[in-house]
Amino acid sequence: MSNLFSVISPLHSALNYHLERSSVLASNVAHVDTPGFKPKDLERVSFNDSFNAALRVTNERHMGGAPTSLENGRVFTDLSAGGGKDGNFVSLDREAAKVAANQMRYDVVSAVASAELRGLAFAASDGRGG
Amino acid sequence: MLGTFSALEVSASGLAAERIRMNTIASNLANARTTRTEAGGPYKRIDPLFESKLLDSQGIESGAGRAVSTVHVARIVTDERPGQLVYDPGHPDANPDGYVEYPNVNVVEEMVNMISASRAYEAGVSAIDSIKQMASSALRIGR
Amino acid sequence: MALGPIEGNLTLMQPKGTTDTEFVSRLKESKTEGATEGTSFEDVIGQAILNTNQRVHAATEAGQAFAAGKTDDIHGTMLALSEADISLRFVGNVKNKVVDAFYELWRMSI
Repeated sequence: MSNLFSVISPLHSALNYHLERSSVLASNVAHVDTPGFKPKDLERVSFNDSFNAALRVTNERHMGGAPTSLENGRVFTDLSAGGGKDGNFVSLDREAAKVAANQMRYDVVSAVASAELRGLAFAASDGRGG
Repeated sequence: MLGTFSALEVSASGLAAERIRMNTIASNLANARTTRTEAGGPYKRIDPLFESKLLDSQGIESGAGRAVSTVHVARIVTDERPGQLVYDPGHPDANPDGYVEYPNVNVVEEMVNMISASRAYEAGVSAIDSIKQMASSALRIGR
Repeated sequence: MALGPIEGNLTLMQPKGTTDTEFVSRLKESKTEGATEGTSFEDVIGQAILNTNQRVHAATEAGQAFAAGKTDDIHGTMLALSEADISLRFVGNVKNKVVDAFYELWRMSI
């Protein structure tokens, strides 16, 4: 029974990643007129990357941290849109495109999770529906 | 984890800031020909100064906590550049040389700023829309 | 029409590639006497079960690939999931009807 929902974990992680990215992108949009602001973005980390990051220790006698503080993604600065005179690098068009793409992916992963759970529910009801 | 509500808070701060900017633009346009103010001298155009502030939420363990900040108007900055001098000795506000100093408002520049603020406001609204839609689709999981 | 015995391990949650092919071959072996040659019910339902299992695994993999950002194919993923869902329901319904028919026969003989 323990691995009945094992397909849901990676989907849950993906949803977490997209939700956090939506905050980062909303922040970029809000700062379109802030002087010197450089837009940020979030890139995916594989489970191994975040697991290792959480467990890294600096002294061999220290214990590694529990993987509860897993990051949902790696922050990076995206200067590809070019900067204005006030040092602001935000392009509304680029951010709008990112917001749209991020939302679409979130919606699809959410629909995938729904479909998986529906299949499990069907099987759980002995194939007699509902 | 930074979630739906922090994203909404960030977007809301952007809308509020752009609205303040619209107000300063409106003030500049309305006073484009004001040669006399309470402080004496012609009207000087004003600009809001935006600054970012890290989101003060308890979930800043994640790396993205450093990447998300709300925007605030630090203060309203007065543009002290001199305005246009027009020779008009008959004008009540003329200086001893007969010149009247008009406000340093460039109407075309203000209109461009207004369009830019309006676009930024719309972008903020569509970001909020997108966040709301994501929450709606999460609600449909398992239905 | 000859029916093979309804196996107790006909669950819809078979793990990948374990007993499906075994089940189908057991179905084929357990033909009763006088069974007709050609496409029998065991063949059809055995194939349907295999197909369904393949579809379900393909759909799961498609979903995982999309979530990991490895593909941009939205409609492909959604279609795969839908097909697996319908396939599952179809086989489930056939199983229900066969089980119900068996119980009807069972009641009759008493």
